[in-house]
Amino acid sequence: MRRAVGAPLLVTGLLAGLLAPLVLLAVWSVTRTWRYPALWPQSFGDRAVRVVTDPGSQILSGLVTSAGIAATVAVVSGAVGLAAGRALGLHSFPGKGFVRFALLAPVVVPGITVSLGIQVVFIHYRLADTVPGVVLAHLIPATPYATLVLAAAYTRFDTAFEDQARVLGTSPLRVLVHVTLPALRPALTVAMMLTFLISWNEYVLTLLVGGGSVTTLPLLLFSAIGSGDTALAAALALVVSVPPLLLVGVTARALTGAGASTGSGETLAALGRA
Amino acid sequence: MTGPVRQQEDPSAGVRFDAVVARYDRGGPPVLDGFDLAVEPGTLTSLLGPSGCGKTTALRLLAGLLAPTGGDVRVAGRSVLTVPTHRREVAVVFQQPLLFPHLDVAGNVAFGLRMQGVDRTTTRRRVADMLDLVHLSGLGSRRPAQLSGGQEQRVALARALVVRPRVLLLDEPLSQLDAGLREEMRGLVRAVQRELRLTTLFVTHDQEEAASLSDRVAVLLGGRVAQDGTPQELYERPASLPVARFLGTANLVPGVVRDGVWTGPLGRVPTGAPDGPATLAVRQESLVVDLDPDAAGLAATVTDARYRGTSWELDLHVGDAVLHAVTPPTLKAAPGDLVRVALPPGHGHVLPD
Repeated sequence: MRRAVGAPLLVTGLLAGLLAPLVLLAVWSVTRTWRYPALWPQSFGDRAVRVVTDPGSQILSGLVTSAGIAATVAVVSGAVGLAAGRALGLHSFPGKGFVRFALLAPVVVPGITVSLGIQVVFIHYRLADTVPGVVLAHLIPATPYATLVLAAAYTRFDTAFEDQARVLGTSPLRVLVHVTLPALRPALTVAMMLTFLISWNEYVLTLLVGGGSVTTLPLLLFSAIGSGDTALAAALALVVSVPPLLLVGVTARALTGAGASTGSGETLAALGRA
Repeated sequence: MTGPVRQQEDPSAGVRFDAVVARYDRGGPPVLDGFDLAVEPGTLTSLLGPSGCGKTTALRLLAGLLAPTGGDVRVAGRSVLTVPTHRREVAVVFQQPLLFPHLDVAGNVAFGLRMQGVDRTTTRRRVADMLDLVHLSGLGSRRPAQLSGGQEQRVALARALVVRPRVLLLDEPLSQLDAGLREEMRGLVRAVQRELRLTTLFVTHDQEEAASLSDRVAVLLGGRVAQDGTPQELYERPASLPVARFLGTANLVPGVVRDGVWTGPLGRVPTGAPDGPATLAVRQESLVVDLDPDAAGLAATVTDARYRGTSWELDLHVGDAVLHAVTPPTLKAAPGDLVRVALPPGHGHVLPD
């Protein structure tokens, strides 16, 4: 009885906790004046909304840059994760424990310390201030996540399915496309979603490697916050946070709909393990 | 990318293993060592052996899932060692059905044809024919999770047959099924194999299965073929003591051969075996048991009698030796009875130790 009441309450609470800040942001983004003791803004205005939705503003190009970089990072780290995760998940080799540990290093070490070193190297290879440079830099924190998620999925994948496909006359490439990828699809989806979000939210690496010429949304957001324009910052914060929420929602729906697969099910649990 | 799709009436090919050596670990002990076997086109040969004897390894070598460290594997007279797995036209049904969970039954059966680029109309027709053949017509849109164990294995069989392989390999495909279903599936495998005249290699550790299904049985012991023959040859004339021991259906009575005569607890049996210690293999049905203690033969005591419906199984003590005999159901022997047991001339088979 208590659990039956408790579960919906918990869900409602979580949803409220997740959505309340967004509601506040939405209110702030259309506020003109809102001074201390008032519980509700004194006056409203659409200035910030107009700035954000103006096709000529930096925001739209920032959105495109962010989405492009994040999508590239998701695809590349997904591909690397497929290969590296296979090695980690299916094979044993000397030094595997160390590799696993080393994979976590970019995640454990603070981004800023890594960034400074990367910046020097990238300047040397003329990758600084370029979009490919930023993509490469984002891959550093993103790839380990993709690898660990997919390694966990591979440990539950039975390669006998691949053998079965081969003896039915399937070329290695087609085995990958028609057997392995369908089986790993839930984990790959999670891995790509995670890495997309890592890249989407990355600030320090973009700032240092992009050097101000690669303008992603977080950069614009930070500068809006720095300028003290609360309404603009709130409107931008909405632009930054709503697409990931939609992405997570769509992915979650796709995952639960995926149902039976050669190794699905506990893919989200893999996140916990990773 | 697509393998040749064979359209001939009779696509079967003979298979030949020549002095094959295979090991899983480099420098480790070989799993197969001097493995020789020939399978005639269109026949079903069983590879029979205890677990770990290398029978599955032999299948994997032929399918191209494993490379031998020595010897040659030929299909239709040509070495296949350099042919990639997907071009060998050697289909396998494994112990697990391994149905692709993201495809329905028809999708699973069509898989190989799709991968080889066979057109849709042909695929649809051949899939329907094949589902008919394994008695699954109408179940094409089911998901693998909705099938019973026997149905799953029939889909796996259809999926392997539909690509018209030159050789079909069956790796204990029935071992996960319960007894009644296994019997039924054996019949199906045999019927389908005969109808398609498909060269088939069937791996099993179940002697009854091997005997009832096969044209020939190869007993695999210690990484090589210890005997290769028809099921009758195998049971009537096991080639060596290890084979007789593995089959386990004969009484093995120790004795000695001198000047062409085996002498032991069961008397004297003429033989061509060389002098020295030798074992007499006697089938359980060959022993004649007489309840009259004054009849001819050796005196024996019944220590146990088990009724099998169509026969009695008797445990007999003859001196120090324990013999097992199968007698007609009309013979009413009970433990403790003193009986006579005789070996009719011409029965019994001497194996040098």
